[in-house]
Amino acid sequence: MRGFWAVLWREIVERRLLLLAAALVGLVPLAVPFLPGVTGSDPGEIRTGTALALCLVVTAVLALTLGATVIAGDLSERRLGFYFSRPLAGWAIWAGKLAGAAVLCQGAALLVLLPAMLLDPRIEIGTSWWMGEGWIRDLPTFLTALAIGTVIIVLVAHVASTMVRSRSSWILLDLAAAFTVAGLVWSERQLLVRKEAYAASIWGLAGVLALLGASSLIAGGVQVLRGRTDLRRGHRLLSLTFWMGMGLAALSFAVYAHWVIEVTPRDLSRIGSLLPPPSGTWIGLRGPAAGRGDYTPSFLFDTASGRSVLIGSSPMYWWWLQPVFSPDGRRVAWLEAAGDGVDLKILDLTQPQAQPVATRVSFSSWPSRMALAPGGTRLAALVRSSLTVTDVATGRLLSAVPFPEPAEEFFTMRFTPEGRLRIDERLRDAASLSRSRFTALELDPGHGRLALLGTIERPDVEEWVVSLDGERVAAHSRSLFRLFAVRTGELLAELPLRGELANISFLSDGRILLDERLLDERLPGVSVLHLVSRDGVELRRFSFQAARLVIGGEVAPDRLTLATRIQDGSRAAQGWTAFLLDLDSGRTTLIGYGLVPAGRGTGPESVGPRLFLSGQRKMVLLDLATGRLRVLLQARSVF
Amino acid sequence: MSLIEGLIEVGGLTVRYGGRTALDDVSFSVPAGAVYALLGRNGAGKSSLVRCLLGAQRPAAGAARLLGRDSWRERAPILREVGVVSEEPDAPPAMTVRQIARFCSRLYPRWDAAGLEERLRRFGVPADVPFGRLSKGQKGQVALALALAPAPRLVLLDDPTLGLDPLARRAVFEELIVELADRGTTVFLTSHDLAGVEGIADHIGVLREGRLVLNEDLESVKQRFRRIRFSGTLPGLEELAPVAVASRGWGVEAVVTRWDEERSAPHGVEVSGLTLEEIFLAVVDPAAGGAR
Repeated sequence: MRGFWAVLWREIVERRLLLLAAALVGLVPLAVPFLPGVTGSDPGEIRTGTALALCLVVTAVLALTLGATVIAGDLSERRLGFYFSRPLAGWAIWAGKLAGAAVLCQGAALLVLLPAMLLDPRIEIGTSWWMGEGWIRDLPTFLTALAIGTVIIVLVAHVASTMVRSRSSWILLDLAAAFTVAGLVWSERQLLVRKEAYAASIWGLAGVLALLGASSLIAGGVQVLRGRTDLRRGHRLLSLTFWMGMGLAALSFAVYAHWVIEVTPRDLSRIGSLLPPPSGTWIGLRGPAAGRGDYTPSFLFDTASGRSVLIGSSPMYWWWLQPVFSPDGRRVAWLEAAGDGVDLKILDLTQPQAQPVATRVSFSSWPSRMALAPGGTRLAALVRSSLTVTDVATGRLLSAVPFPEPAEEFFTMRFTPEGRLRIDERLRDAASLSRSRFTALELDPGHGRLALLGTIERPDVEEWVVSLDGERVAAHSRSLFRLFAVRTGELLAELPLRGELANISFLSDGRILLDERLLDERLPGVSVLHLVSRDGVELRRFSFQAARLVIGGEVAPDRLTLATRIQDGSRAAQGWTAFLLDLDSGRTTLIGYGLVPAGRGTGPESVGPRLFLSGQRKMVLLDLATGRLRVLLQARSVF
Repeated sequence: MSLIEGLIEVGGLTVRYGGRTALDDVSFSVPAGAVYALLGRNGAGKSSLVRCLLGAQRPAAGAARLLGRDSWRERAPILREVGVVSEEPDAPPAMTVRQIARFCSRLYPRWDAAGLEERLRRFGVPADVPFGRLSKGQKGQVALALALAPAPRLVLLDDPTLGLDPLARRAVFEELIVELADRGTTVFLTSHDLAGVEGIADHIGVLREGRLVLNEDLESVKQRFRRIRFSGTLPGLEELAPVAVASRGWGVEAVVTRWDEERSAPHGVEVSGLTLEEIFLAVVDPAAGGAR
């Protein structure tokens, strides 16, 4: 160690004037607030910002210069022999010179910052006028990042300097290797960015950067220890070691990138979104993948066979354009980014091993809504205030009408069995939120005409729920249920409730379920399920000792899945109890605890009503014949 | 090839730079207390050999051992007891002699600071001037003073008088003689200053195109090598192993390498001794060294 300290100290002493220069540069920020033209900001902030900027520039320039000269410069100027003719171990020469350069850089950085720090002791990096918000928010983090960055720059500068200074033809191999590695890393990074795995791309690049530093450190060490005073031999050894390390880094990044994007539903750490089909066993599924940052893949998943198809990805906090199932459940379509636009892909769900097929349908930007016709023959899309219907097989545009972009939550569209496009809008009056309007429209793609079917406007309607046949609409008010005919606007029925109306859902035969919470303080935890006829007459009611109730759907005519929760203060899944309710007899059968219905709003033809989630960690399927639950997916821990 | 016991042991040493062989199967030994001078023309391989001895160059084959240890593998421990003067004095130019001395003093188990000061004073080298500002002669003197300061068992000097004026050259050799007289330090040096070497060396080696063509006690060499002049023919000349034979107007002049001091010169044959320079010339370039 004596040799290491001797070399380290010698490096610092020899270049001590750099520290003096840095101390002088540190005085510049003190003068900046008084310069003409510098106005408007707090002087302390200007000093801090200037000091940080100068600190970065000075440190980067020093790191580059010292890295390029401390060893490679001595070698090319034949001065390294001075050390090698002394009893100094090779590692002591390498480490001592490297540490000397790092200490000089850090010392210079601190000296540049020091005057500003003395005047403004609490430097807030995150609020600095030039740096903005970031993960480096305080001075210790800034200096730590600077120290790591400095060492990497010093090391890389040494490697580059050695390659250039040796004047050997090996530099051609170096250039070829540099292009290869950079190309591989860039392509893998682009792959991750295209798949919207932003965090993983940053982690991957950080890993490559760390391996760049490690490779440079080891390569420089091998150069000095084995190449000693022979610059060209040292260059060969350095290049071999360095490019082996960087090759390993690039390959590791490639393996990591493919590990990130080649996921299955079993890699999800959480089941974030679930889309039940109108019919059939395939569902749409989305969630963050374990250990992959913000990478959130979307899948189509067959609950019967366990087969899955990866259909895209986007960060969990981003809006997700769900895949669209055809009403008969035979096809599912989704969009994939392609160049500047998006392309439509389709999967035939009737074929057990069918693969996604690219269609001729594409858009210049992402539609905000889509609907698929029965059999997947046509696609309706709302994109850039234009409602289009396209023939999926040929990509031919069948119809396009102007249509203002509606608010996100209050707009649905679907194809009718007759092939027309039905659009339901629920709009609240912009001037008075208490007024709400329901509008039903229909587009005949053959004629390209948008026809108004009916419109109903009422005060205090929180939600409009349309029947499956589209002919009736239920108005959901706080304690009032009303049923209207869509085309005439006629009030068909009205049912005042004692408690609060939580939910309305239509059954496949047209009957209606109302979920009422009783507000009576003497009965704090009672939910009442009202079964109402097609024309709005209450048929019977079911009471549950539960503060909350969630209706799953019909697993068979007159058989319904639902879940109740007694404690309302907790969102924990353990509070839920799932039941099977026989609407005819009123008998309930326990399904399980901790389960919430996952596929709501679907009928007996769909697997949806039989799906349950347990705290977004587990998806289970109810087997109606045996009453047993089968685990379909179990979310994976991050580590 | 097996190594011979000695303070420096070199066996089968081969160094190649790409396709060029700089040293070809070189073997020799330097006993303790000896002054070994390695001679050779420029490019003969002297500096490569010194770099191998210092552990700065890895040989393609063979090995160099100093003080009984492999110089490539155990370079740093070996150099604790070895003083080195390299061909080009290479200390950091911004450091003063005093700073260099302080740096070096931390690296050696023994350090004769007073001796160093005394030598620098004797050489007339200012201690507070940056190394880069010293003259070439002064740099060489500083390098020698630094090499001798740790009281080494072995001193390696790679052409220490290269580029020095006659006075500076003399100062270097005188210093070595003092060191030898005081401590009996083993010295290995390469040099082109054959007159200076002749005054202190007791063993010589001559490298020619990477091969060691002469490795012998200097006195023995001087006894073997003779210049003979005769007219007509000399029976048995081949037995004397002539390395150069030239016809002159008055007769024949030859340099022979197997002269026997015990036997008397035949009638009509004039025999004279050779300087180290003449021997060197005869060995490395017989055509040039055989005739004057």
